[in-house]
Amino acid sequence: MKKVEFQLSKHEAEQLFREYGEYVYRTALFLTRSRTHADDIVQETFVRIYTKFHTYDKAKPIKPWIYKITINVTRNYLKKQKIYNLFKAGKLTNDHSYDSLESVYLHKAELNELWELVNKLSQKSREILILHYYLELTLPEIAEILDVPLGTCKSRLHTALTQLRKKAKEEHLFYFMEDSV
Amino acid sequence: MKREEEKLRRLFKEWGKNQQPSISFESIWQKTKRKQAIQAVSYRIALVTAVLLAILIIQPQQLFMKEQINTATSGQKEIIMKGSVIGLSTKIVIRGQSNLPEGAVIQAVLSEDAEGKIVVLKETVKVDKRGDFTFVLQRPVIERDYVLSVAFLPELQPQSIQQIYGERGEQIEQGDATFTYGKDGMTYRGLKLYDWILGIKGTTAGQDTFLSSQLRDYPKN
Repeated sequence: MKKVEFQLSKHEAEQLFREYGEYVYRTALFLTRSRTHADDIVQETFVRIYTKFHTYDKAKPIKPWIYKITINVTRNYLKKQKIYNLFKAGKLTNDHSYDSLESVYLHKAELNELWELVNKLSQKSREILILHYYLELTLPEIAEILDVPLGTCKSRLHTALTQLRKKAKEEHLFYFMEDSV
Repeated sequence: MKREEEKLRRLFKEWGKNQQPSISFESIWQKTKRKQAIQAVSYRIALVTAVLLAILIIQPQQLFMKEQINTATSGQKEIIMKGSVIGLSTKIVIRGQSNLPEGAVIQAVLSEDAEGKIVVLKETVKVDKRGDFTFVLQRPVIERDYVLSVAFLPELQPQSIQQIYGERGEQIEQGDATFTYGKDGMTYRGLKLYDWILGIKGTTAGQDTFLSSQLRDYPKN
């Protein structure tokens, strides 16, 4: 059994939170569609970051390590929620406020429509989109975070974009279609 | 493709602009500290439990091993033997009981002196499956007194009995009736019981006595 170590000072821990807290929150929010869940995930993610900091390989960039924890915590959280909701005979809890256009501050109609399409994608597709287009991680980094081969990662991104194009075509969302600018 | 990607980036950027966590760093930090404290306690509990388990597992094993060593080094086996002596007019009947296995050899010796140096009769019998044995000895001289010894001697035993008690009786547990003796430069341990054989003098009543580990004082009439 490994002895519990705690190597981060409070100041360092706070710096990490200030730098990555919002990204972690937005990732969790996007994947869970719930502010309450996103807050819980932020808390759990940072507690894990702080307590497991001794396991982080200092030779590597910290960003992928943090987002890997974020994704894992979110996945576990969603699994627990699914089981919980199974017993409650309900669906995954969504915050209504999250879906409202005002709350997400997407004032442009075309962005709102695209946002709705993105939210209709599968969990895996949404994961890769936020990791790549929001957190701006490279595909090799994403492959490491998701614990999948690079090929699988490329394939998931391709599938996500194809699904999005298809839905955009179905919904006549010309904004997203390649031939419209 | 590039335009699509740009649009997605813009989408996420726009969406994320005002999404802020409502949880504070302080509350996370406090929770981290609590978790760390729990982990430290759990670690200590696990450590103490592991040590206790190790003690609980190792100690009985050590005791068992000690017991085995003691048995191996001592390997002592107690021999219980007793008997009665009945004096008839021309014969002496010795009935004995023991915990010896079937086939063990018992020797009876009649001697004229207490030290057993002047031997007048020597006979052996085998123990039956119940551990019993019987001697019927002819009185050499009816009127004469003798010293009777009934003994288990290791060198007289068949191999199967020697395997149990040792070739030189080294596995016999020491007791009141055990004795050591030398033979061919070796030391042996055996077991011996004694009694007086009273000669028939005039109208002396028939003897009915018991074997004992020490030769009793000569009975006065």
